[in-house]
Amino acid sequence: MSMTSKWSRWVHPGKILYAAYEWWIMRWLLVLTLYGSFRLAGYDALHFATATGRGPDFTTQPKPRGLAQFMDVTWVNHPEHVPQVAFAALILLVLLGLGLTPVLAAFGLAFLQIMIGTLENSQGNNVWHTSQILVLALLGVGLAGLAEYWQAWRRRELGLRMKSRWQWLGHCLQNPGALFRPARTPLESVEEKGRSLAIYLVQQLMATAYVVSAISKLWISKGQWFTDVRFIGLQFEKNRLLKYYQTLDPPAVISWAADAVNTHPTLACILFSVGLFLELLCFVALFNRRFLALFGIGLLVMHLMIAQLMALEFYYNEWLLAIFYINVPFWLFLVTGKFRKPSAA
Amino acid sequence: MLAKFLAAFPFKTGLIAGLLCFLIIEKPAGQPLHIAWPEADDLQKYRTEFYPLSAFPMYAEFSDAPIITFFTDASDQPIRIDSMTTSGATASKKDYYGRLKDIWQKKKPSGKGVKISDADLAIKQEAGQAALVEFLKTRAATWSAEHPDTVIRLYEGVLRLPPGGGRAELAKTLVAEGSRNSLSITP
Repeated sequence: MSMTSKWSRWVHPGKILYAAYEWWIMRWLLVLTLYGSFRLAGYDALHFATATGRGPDFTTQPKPRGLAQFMDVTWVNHPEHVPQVAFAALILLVLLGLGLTPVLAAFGLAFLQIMIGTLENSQGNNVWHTSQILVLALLGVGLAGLAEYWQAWRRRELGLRMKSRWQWLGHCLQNPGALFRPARTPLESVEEKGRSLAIYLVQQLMATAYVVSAISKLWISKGQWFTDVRFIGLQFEKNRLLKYYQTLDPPAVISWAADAVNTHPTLACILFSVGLFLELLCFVALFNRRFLALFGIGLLVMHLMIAQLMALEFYYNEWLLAIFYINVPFWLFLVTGKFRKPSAA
Repeated sequence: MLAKFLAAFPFKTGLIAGLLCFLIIEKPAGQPLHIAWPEADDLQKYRTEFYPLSAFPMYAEFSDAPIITFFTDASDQPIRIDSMTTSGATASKKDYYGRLKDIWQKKKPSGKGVKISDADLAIKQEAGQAALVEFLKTRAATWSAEHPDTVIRLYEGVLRLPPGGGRAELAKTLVAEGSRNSLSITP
């Protein structure tokens, strides 16, 4: 076997073909996660008429950041607009779930999320990243849709491609078997390429968030991160106290972990260095399905550990890693032999 | 050749998004658009923040003396932060710490090894006062409007390890005190 073919068995980013059932499951799980994010921010899409928004404390943007430098983003929290925003989110979430208008749905939802996040980030010396990864995922879906439309427009088939999304919905209802097998018809083939690109761009932008974070860590600390990580125990204690002063309830944080790490700093260095390398090399996950699952599990464990030790939750990162990287349905189908893999796993 | 390489390069979208995350894009009111590549310090000061594009990392700096903040009433009893604002305790801490860093940069004494956690009380109080005013004016605007005469105290806590490791010790400093009315905060 030549060296090239040995490599190509393992390294084929962007060439994994995803089955239709994977994309349906991923999309609806993304919709559910997004619904939770809107609800948490005060924009409950299912109860849009009584949505409260971010509340009366977010009516100004005293320190405009990001888009707030170019436009007033406080409108998103205006009491008159809050139900409208929540209703718009509901419509766009349904459209995203059905896959009929991915560009409109994904960019529309991303826009609303950006408005809410930018308003939060324009309140003072603080930044907020909780749902950043969701917006990146939406941008991935939207960009993939745009790329598809651009190619169809160049072939003078833009109208056909837009129409084919409706045909695909009907096709899935009439031929449920098509959800579980590789493409056979031209329509199935177009859809297969489209969804595979969308999933790949989502995975790629998620990886970007991790790689950027790792580079920043090394850049800011001028490479001293690896030696300074021995003080991580103090960070545990810092977060435990911040959590305590939030509610004055004893926080569910393992304080013995902080003591243990303070006493055995080498252990902290090893554990957290593994986490940093997972972030830094996250793009390697995109090489194939096995790496995606392995990196997904690794990063998920890292988030769960951080949540336990530092009381710092990254729910959306955890969910998206489970949905787009670990991709349990695929492995279940593969293991149970119900589904013939559409491409190299 | 370059076009061929770019066409074959599989991480184009991620690379572009990654580079955008690191750009400083600022448009102060009445001034022209400013786009620049950051220094390390700019990353810490959130200058690259353009939601959702962000190069601000969690845990880039592991201080040997990390800082927290908390609020108490006039008799030094802690107040639940979530009873005053929907923003978290971290937001208040970051607000104070950001101000402290700005003032520290301008007023810090010369010499090696001088740390922000050892800043003079006057510097800490200047940052604390500004942070408390901002807190009552924005994040806790509703609460402070309902309790205009209730005095609250903002404390800074510095965590340090005792020699030989073990449980961290917290040194508290009162950095600001006041109510909406006593601080003359208007909506």
